[in-house]
Formats: sequence, structure tokens, C-alpha cells
Amino acid sequence: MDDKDALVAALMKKLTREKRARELAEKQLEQYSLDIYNTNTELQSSLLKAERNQTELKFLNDISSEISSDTSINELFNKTLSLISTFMESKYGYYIHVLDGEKKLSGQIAPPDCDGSHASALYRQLSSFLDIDVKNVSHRWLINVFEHEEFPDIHWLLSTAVSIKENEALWLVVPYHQDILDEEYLYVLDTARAQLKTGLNRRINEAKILTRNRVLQETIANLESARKQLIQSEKMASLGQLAAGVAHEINNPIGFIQSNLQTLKEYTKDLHTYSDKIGSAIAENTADDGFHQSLKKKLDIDYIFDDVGDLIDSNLQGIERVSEIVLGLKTFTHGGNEKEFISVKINEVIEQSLKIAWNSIKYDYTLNNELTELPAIQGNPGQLQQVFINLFVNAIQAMPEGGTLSITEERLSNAFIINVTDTGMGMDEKTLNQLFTPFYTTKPVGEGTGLGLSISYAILEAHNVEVNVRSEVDKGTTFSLKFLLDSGA
Amino acid sequence: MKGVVFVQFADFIEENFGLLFWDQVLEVVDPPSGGAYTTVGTYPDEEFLSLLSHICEVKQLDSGDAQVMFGRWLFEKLHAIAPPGNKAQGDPFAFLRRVQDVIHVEVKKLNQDAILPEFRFISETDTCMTMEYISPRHLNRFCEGLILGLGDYMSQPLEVVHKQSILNGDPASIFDVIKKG
Ligand code: HEM
Repeated sequence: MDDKDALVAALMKKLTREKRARELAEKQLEQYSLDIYNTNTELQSSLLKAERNQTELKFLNDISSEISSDTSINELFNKTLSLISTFMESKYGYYIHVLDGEKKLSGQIAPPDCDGSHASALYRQLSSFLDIDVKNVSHRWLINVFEHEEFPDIHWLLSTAVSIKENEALWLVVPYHQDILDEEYLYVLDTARAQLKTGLNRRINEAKILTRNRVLQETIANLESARKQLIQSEKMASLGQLAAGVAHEINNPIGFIQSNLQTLKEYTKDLHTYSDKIGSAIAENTADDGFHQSLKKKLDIDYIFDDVGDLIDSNLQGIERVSEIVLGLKTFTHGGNEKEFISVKINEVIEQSLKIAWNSIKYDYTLNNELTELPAIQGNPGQLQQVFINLFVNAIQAMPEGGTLSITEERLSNAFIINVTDTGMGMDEKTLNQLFTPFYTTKPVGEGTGLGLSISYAILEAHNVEVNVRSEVDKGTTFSLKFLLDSGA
Repeated sequence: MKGVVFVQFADFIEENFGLLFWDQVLEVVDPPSGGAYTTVGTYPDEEFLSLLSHICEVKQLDSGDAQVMFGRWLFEKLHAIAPPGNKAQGDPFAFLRRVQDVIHVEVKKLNQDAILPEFRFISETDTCMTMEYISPRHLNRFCEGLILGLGDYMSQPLEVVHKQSILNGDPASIFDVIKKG
């Protein structure tokens, strides 16, 4: 009996324990549910936060790619403004350029459904809430309360500015529509602002470098034209030095032209007398052959007729010489104008020059032309022809007893060389040194102008051709012309 | 310790010594929980230890032997609630590794407040595995019981030799688990 009662009692107690255990378990379960619920809400808010972080990151990323692009300052600010407006879910946005006291609206975001008049009206209101000027530039975003019956959906004005110079700043103003502004947005916006500032500085520096570059380029251009002027004035100077030479050269033909004309004048007088005498003899009827012959003899008419032709020929030659000198001087002073350069086949130029110069070549000269097809160069074909004719004529004149004229070539990677060689009398050092001096000539007065080689030299210089001369007395002379190939185009 | 151990311990005592005995034990020991154990709860280790030591005293049992008995009995119950895909089959040594690498890890995930032992496997042959048992609870003999229970379950008689024991002043607790027969 006792045992039974005890067992029942123990069972009852066990039941109580089981009940308590169940209650405990249920409580535990509730706790779990609550925990799970809390965890869920926490997860949801983390998700939300993560999503927001993602938009924030995307925003900052968009800004920084904008910053690192090549856009101008204006474009940069307009793009940034639009990014910030979108990020802050704002319908408006203003980009304002402030110079001294002057405000200029340089960009604006307006709702797509209004014609901009709304946005302009809002812009006019801004100044009563914001101090948009060049002094009021903070390194953060400013938040101002905004209240206006016309714009009930705007609660805040977010603004920031960056200065460009002491008297110049760029402002961004973005109206905000929410009641409450999350602080975190401000951190993001401050980061964006810092990026914007970096981007701006970079662009300002780049602009400075650009101006500096431009100035440098201008300086280089100035130097280049100064150099050209110097070369020109050097030429003019040597020309001046040689004025005496010119005078001499020109005076010589002028002298004989003058004396020839003097003589011709005398001759005209005699011819007048001759004509008058014949006229009056015919009138007096005393004209007969005897009279005519004795008159002719007395006045030397036969000789005069003879001499008039000679004198005129001589004058014509003199004038030709003078104009030859003047023409030569002109080429010399003008040099070559690169702008008139065209593509020139040097082989053709040499063929032409040989044809002209060959006329004066007697049978005891040999021509040895070893040229192959050379690349085209940029130049003035007429001037180059003048150079080669001059070289060939000189070569021939250097070989009065006959000889060989050789034209050979050498090829370099960026140039080719044409050698013109004669087997003539050669030159001594003194002559070599003065070779290119204008009016220096070994020929007797009246035979060469002395301008030939120096004109050639000026032409070649304008063509960027390097000239080299090797010469040995009684062996011959070689002129080497090095033509540079166009490395560009 | 997790409630599952207490719930099973109560069942174990009831099964072996009867409901009346268990009722008396609770009466005398009077644990804070009042003995209303649920598997979803967690209870202080001391409750388990004081219940165990009282039972040993009354029944004239060696505490270590009692731990072995309980562990051996408990294995099957724990095995039944092991996460799916972790049934003991094939090699018992492989299952011991699985307990360390998977089962206890999963238990920890579900019960942040559980304190689970760590096994370090020192060497293994076909018939003998040497392992270190690391736990702040030092339930060396309980662990032996669980291993023997595993052997029972797999019909592969096992023996656990305590080569070293922190309880005896050794620097670590190291077992040899030997396959017999
Ligand atoms: C032979 C296999 C196993 C061995 C040797 C073993 C060993 C142990 C030991 C010794 C403890 C006591 C705590 C400690 O010493 O710190 C323990 C606790 C525990 N084990 Fe195992 N175990 C085994 C299998 C399992 C299985 C299959 C499960 C299934 C879920 C399991 C779940 C647990 C749980 C829930 C605890 C309680 C932990 C706490 O409350 O802090 N064990 N195990």
C-alpha cells in the first residue's frame, strides 16, 4: 500500500516536473521565436543598409570616374550636380559660378515635367536662404532650412562651394525633399566634395600646364623665326659687304655700254651730216657718184655702219650680264621658300641640267652617270636645276683640257648623297675656304659673276642639303650633296 | 550542459533504479531546476555532478564507473539525434573523427552555449587509435562510456585505455581506443 501511495506521489511529482518542463520548453520556444523575429528584422535592416551602402558606393564611384575623366571643369560640375541630385532624390539642382560679386547660373537640374520656370523661380529664392559668394566657402556641405509656400516639398537646402581663385568660386546647391536628413548622407556628400575638389585642382593645374606649354611653344616659334631672320640678315650682311663687288661687276658692263652709246651718238651726228650733204647736193644738182664716194670716205661711213652693229651687240651683251647679276642676287637674297616646295624627282632634275650644260661640252669629255632611281624629295625643281647646271658648268670649266664628269650616289638610312666629280685642276685650300663666298671667283673679271656657287649654296641650305667639297690640285674636285629624306608623312 | 544530457540522465536512472529512486534523489539533492529538465534548456554542470555523486554514494558506485555506464547507455540516444547523414557505419575510428569534425561542430552551431570536447587524433592503425581528449569538464570516463556505446552500437567491441589523464596529474588526457576480437 505504502509503496503504491509513494509511487503515485512520485508519479504526480513527475507529472508536475513534466508540466514545468513543458512550460519551460514553451517559454524557450517563444524566446526562440522572438529571437528569430529580431534576427529577421535585424537582417532586413542590414539588407536595407547594405543596399544603401551600395547606392552610396555607386554614387561615389560614379563621381570618381567623372572626376578622373577628361571633361572640362564646367562639364565636371554639371555631371556632379546631376549625380548628387539623383543620389539625394532631388528634383532640382544648381551650379553657380561666382566671380567677384557676380553670380552666374552655369547649370541647373529641373524636373522633366516643367518648363524650367519653376526651377528659375526657386533659383531666385535661394539667395534669401543662402549667402552665395566667394568668401563664404566652407570645406563641408552646408545645410539650411528652406521654407517657401511655393515649394512646400522642399525642406532643406544642401550647398557647398569650392574656390578656384581668391575672387572666384563654384557653388553647388541641391534642395532636399525629405523631412529628416540622415547624417550618413552628409558624410557621403563630403567625400564626394573632397573628390570634386581634387578633380578641380587637377584640371586647374592641367590648364596652367597647358598655358605654360602654349607660351613655350610660342617662344619656340619666336626663336625659330628669329633664327630665320638671323640667317636672312647674315645673308644681307654678306650681301652688303659685297656691294663693292656688285658695283664693280655692274660698273664694268655699264662702263662699256656708256662709251659705246657715246660713240653711237657721234656716229649719229656723222650720219646726219652725211644725209644733209647728200640732200643739198641733189638740190643743187651737183650730186654724182664721185661726190658721193668722196663724202662717204670723208665721213668714214662704211666703218660707222660696220661698227654700229658691233656696238649694239656689245651693249646687248652688257645689259644681259647686268640683268644676269641682278637675277642672281635676287635668288640669293630670297633663298628658298619651303612653302613652295613640291615633290621633286631629283633624277629628272639632273637629266634636264645635263641636257642644258652638255651643250658646252666638247668631244673630249666623258660623262659617267651612275645614278639609279632616287627617292623623291621636297623642293623647288627650278632652283635645284640651277644648282646642278652651275655644278656641271663649273666642273667642265675646271677641265679645260677635257676629262670625265662623274655623277654617283650613296644611300643612307635617312638620306642619300649625290657626288659630282670632275678630273679637273682642283683647288687649293684658300680657294676651297672661299668657295661659297659670293662674288668670289677664280675667273677673270667679266667671265663669271662669282655668284654661282653662293647662290647654289643658299638654295641647297634652304633645301636642308648638306654640302661637302673635297678637292686636290691637279686631280679634281668632288661636290657631295646630302639630301635628307622626309622622316614624316 | 545541454538539457538533452539531463533528460537522458533522468531516463537512465529511472530505467535502472526506478521512478521512486529518482524522485528521492531529486528530493535530497534539490537541484535549482527542481528536476524539470527539457532538451531545449541548458543547466549548470554542477547539477549533473551533484546528482551523479549523490547516486554513487547511495548505490555504493564508483563515480567513474557510473560515468562509463551512463555514457555507454547515452550513445544510442545521442546517435539518434545526430544531424542527418552522420549515422555510425563502417569503421568506428572514422566515426570518432566524424564526431570531432562534423557532429560536435553542428551541435555547437545549434547551441551557442554548448561546451564540446576537442579530440586530437595522434595515431591510427587498423586496430588502435590514440587520441587526446581536451575539455574543461574532464569527463574522461564519460567519454570512455560514449566510445564503448559506439562499439556496442556497431557490434565492434572496443576498449579504452587511459594512457594519461589530467585527473591523475598528467599533462594531458590520452586514450588508446582498441578494437577487440
Ligand atoms: C562516440 C561518439 C561521441 C563521443 C566520444 C562524444 C563525446 C562527448 C563528451 C565527452 C561530451 C561531454 C562534454 C565534454 O566532455 O566537454 C559530449 C557532449 C555532447 N555531445 Fe558528444 N560525443 C559523441 C557523439 C555525439 C553524438 C553522435 C552527438 C549527437 C548530436 C553528440 C552531441 C553532444 C552534445 C549535445 C553534448 C553536450 C554539450 C554541452 O551541453 O555542452 N555527441 N560529447
